[in-house]
Amino acid sequence: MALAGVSVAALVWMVRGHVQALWRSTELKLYTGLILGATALVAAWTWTDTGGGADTIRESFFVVSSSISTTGFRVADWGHWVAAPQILLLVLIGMGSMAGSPGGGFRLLRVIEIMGIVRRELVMQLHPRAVVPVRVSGAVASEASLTRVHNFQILWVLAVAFGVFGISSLGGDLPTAVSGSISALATAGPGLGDLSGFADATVLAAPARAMLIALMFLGRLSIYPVVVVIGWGVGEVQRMRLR
Amino acid sequence: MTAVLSASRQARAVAKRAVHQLVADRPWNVTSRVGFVVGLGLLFLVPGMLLATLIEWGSSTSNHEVALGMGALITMAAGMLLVTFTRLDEDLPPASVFAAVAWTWICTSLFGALPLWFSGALGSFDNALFEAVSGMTATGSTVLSPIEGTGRGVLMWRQIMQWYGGMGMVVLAVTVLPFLGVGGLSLITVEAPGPTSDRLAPRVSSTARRLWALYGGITVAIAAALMIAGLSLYDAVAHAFTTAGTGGFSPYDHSIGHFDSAAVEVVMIIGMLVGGVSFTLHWRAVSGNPRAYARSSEFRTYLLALAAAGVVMSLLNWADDLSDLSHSFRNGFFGAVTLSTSGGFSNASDANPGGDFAAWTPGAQALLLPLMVMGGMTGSTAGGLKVLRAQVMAKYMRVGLLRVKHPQVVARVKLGQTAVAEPVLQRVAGLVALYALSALLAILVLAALGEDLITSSSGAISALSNMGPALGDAGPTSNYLVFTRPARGVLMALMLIGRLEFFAIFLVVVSAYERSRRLARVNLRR
Repeated sequence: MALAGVSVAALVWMVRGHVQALWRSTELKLYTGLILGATALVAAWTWTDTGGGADTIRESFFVVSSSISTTGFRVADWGHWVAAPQILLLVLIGMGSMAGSPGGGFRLLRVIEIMGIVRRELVMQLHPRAVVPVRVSGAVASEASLTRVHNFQILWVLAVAFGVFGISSLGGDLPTAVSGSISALATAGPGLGDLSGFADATVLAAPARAMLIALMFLGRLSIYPVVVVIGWGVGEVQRMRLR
Repeated sequence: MTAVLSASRQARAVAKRAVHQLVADRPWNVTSRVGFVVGLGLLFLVPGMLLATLIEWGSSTSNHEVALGMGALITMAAGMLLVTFTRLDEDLPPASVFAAVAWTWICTSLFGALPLWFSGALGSFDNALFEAVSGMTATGSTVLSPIEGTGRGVLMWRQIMQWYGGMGMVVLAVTVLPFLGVGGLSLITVEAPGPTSDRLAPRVSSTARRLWALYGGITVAIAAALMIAGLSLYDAVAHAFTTAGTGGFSPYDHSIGHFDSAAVEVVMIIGMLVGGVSFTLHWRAVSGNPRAYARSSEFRTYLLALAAAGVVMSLLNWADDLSDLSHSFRNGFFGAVTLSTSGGFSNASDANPGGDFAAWTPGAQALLLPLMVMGGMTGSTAGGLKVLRAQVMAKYMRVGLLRVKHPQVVARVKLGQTAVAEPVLQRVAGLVALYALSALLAILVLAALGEDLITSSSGAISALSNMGPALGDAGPTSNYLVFTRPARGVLMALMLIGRLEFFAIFLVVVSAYERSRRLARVNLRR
């Protein structure tokens, strides 16, 4: 699972032994760091609950890789854990895997670009005339790509907000709605609340499950195609009316 | 009399010169601009502290007037020292403006906590500080429990702090932040050009005087309306202070629910709405241009969003059998206004339990959180991301989608008749990203300190938006003592970060880091 969350390009580098290219990739470094760091944190937080020892570390590693690669296999009933590891896992599911991998989520590349943008904003407030490039893996990211990241961010948050409002007004409680929407949009599966642990989505009413279907589609297709197709359809209908 | 005055002025000038000579070119004289502004801020607090002292002395319920008076004296002494021994330069680089703003809020909170600490109403100093930060940022989260039974003067000082917080915010939001262009706030001038000048210092002092008269007038009007609605003078003034500043403190445990009166709630709704609208618009309306409201697209969007959210939440709660139709609408609209203007009052009472939004149906709660994030208008006392930014982001998204569909298209984001430049859009988007990242990090930290999912996420958003109560364990009928001590520390930082539009607090850290890097580089060259 951890390997499946790595981008195909990086996998090719691994096979061909391009160590330098691998080392240069900010995204791969962040991905590895997140897996190791999150495993350590989850293991520490659940140490007493799950008995400690090698089993806890193995379980944490499994859950973290399953979450960040948005695979969604379950090995532990994390609904009974304390809140902190649950939220961390939800954040990992939301951020998702590397761009160009089969995984879903917001993608780490975009997270890196957003952090770069935030850093640039902070520097530019102090030095209004400074020219601060946003770098990813040593290369400067183009302004157009940054604009796309902003737009994707808004669309993503809006999709989650619609999902949360829909599911919670159709009978799910707030933790279930929030985690269910994020998890479906990231195409992962497990959530918190009623969706935690080994629970399946039948705990939700049928209309709420339909919301999840829509979110999974949106997430898998990176939102844009769906929105553009819907927009095109609405435009066509309007044009037909005008005729 | 005049001779005495001029003599004392001369003596002060001599003393000032002597001290300046003494400390000239010394390492501790580097932050003169920041010190001066902080000193002014502290001196502003003194009249309020004295008023609270007077009320405490006049009331028969408790006798903490010495504690309040001591606080006033210490604050006055510190303010006088700072103002006397520092001076304001004409030249104000952005870094020192940000530092001055951040330190003013931190120091006024520290000194504002003194009367509360001395009075012993809150026990430890960290609780008093939490209450003061919540006051100075006009947030409204409280750790005072029970509230009733504390001295009237001490309670009034909490209310006055929020009034000061709102006052500082008005000047900050109308003059300082747009001048610096924080998070694309230079946009305000597109929507509603305010009284402007090229340099910051004269701009602040002249605008501040006008805005404060306006702010004071609004406070008096709210107090009068509350008295007509049936409140006593003390209650009316106390709530007028926190309504104009969209703060949320109340001298009663049940907040507005204590009165259980529809008339009082209507006055409060209107008062909070006025506080949540741009003060530049108010100023233009007062100076003979009432059509300014109708012409502002931000104002129209704001009212529309509030009305829509109010209706939907009322209907959802009514469908869930939470209360009857009239109470559902009363609670729905009070909730929508108090959450979006970052007021944070609660109208829940034993007779009207449906006012407790922590007990609302999940669908209505899912609408509350976006309202909290959005907040009120730019240039108002409300918190959150602001309606203008939400508007701009929505338009930005539509243009982005258009570009995906037609890659060669030339499309621009327009606000009214003016096209918004790409760099300004980037700044708005940057602030939204900063908000999202800080909120995410804060939720993780609060959860790590032992809160559950809903309490930590709503608590973090509520503090960043300066709202007050949250959902889960920290609902409007509860208080912030449910958070652990370290978690309350985190919340204090969040309130300050959110109030100062993120950049001020972060930049103090960033510029300190830059300075240390520069020092390190110089040392290396040697």
